[in-house]
Amino acid sequence: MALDKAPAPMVFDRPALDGFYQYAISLCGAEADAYDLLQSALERYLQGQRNKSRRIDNPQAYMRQIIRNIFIDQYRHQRAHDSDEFDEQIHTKIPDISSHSLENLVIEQDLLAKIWQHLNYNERELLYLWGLLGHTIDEIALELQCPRGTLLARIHRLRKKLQRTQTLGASA
Amino acid sequence: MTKPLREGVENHLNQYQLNDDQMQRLIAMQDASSSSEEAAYTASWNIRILKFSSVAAALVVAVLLAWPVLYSQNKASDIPRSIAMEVAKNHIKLKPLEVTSPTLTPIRRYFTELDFSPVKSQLYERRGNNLLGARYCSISGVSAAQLRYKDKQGQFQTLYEVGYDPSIYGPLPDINKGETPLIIVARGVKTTIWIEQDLLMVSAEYNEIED
Repeated sequence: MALDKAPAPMVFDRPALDGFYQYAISLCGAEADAYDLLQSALERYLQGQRNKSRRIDNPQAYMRQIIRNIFIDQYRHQRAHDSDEFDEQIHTKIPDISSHSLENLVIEQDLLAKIWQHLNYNERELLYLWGLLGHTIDEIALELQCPRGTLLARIHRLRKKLQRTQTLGASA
Repeated sequence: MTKPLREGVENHLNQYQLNDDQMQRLIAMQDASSSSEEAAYTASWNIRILKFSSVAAALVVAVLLAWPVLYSQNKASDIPRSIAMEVAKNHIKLKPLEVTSPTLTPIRRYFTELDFSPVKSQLYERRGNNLLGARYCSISGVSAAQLRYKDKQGQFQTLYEVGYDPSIYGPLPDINKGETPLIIVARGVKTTIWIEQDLLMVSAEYNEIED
């Protein structure tokens, strides 16, 4: 009887770990919290691998999902949530918004660094997935299990926020 | 200096990198997990091999235990056919009679070497055939009596009689218990096998097919 190949070690390389760290920062907004979050998520991921409870097709997406779940569990009660209901209302009123609204935007790097801390975690997460990973809106909707309309509403609000900040920065 | 938002986001997030200490701790976590997983994997294979070996051993034991029964059943099912084949072969050869007599008494006297005495079969006598004589023969290596008859159509028929030993011939229908004789056609010869008066009897006749 031939033995199956031994399982490949479930190891994320350095770039992948940095990527998760940046995702955690996008959610937490603070570096110290982000590292704790990443450590907890990696621990949970490795534990899941040991238990072999399920086969994982996309380990990186699965790891991000764990980071997100832990973040929501730990910080949800501390932070005010944007209402999806409100998002849907915006989307209904402004049906022509799309990810192109972000593609066309230009911004000063310093200004982005300043505004970053004033964005909520949904908006930072959206920018991470769209800006750093290059996901489309549909891919983001799939990964976050979030209605597409809700994401488009977030894009609309984010764009308004960035434009307003740029206007204020220019006039300052 | 302005730049596209996507590029700005990339630049902003790429400035955040794990420091060496943090990176080493995360890599160490993964290495430790891989080692324990490898150990668990090896252990799980050991268990699987052990389970497989146990099942294989159990199957071997089961086959060994069941073999005599299966073999004897298989052998038993082949005995009537081998008897039929042997009898048909003898019937076709039609070797010369060693004793000729239309009655059984002289024939009984002739067979001094048998450990049984040839009898008049109640079943075979119903056919109303004429006895011609007899000769020694054997069935499955056991000495037997071969009685030759001629039927009303002038065809030769043969009746074989031998002492019935179940350990040699296996279970066969006993007409004294109301069982139906076994009919097997071998080499174009119709053979009928039954037990009567503790003797194994086999009649052989050409299997006539009506036109």
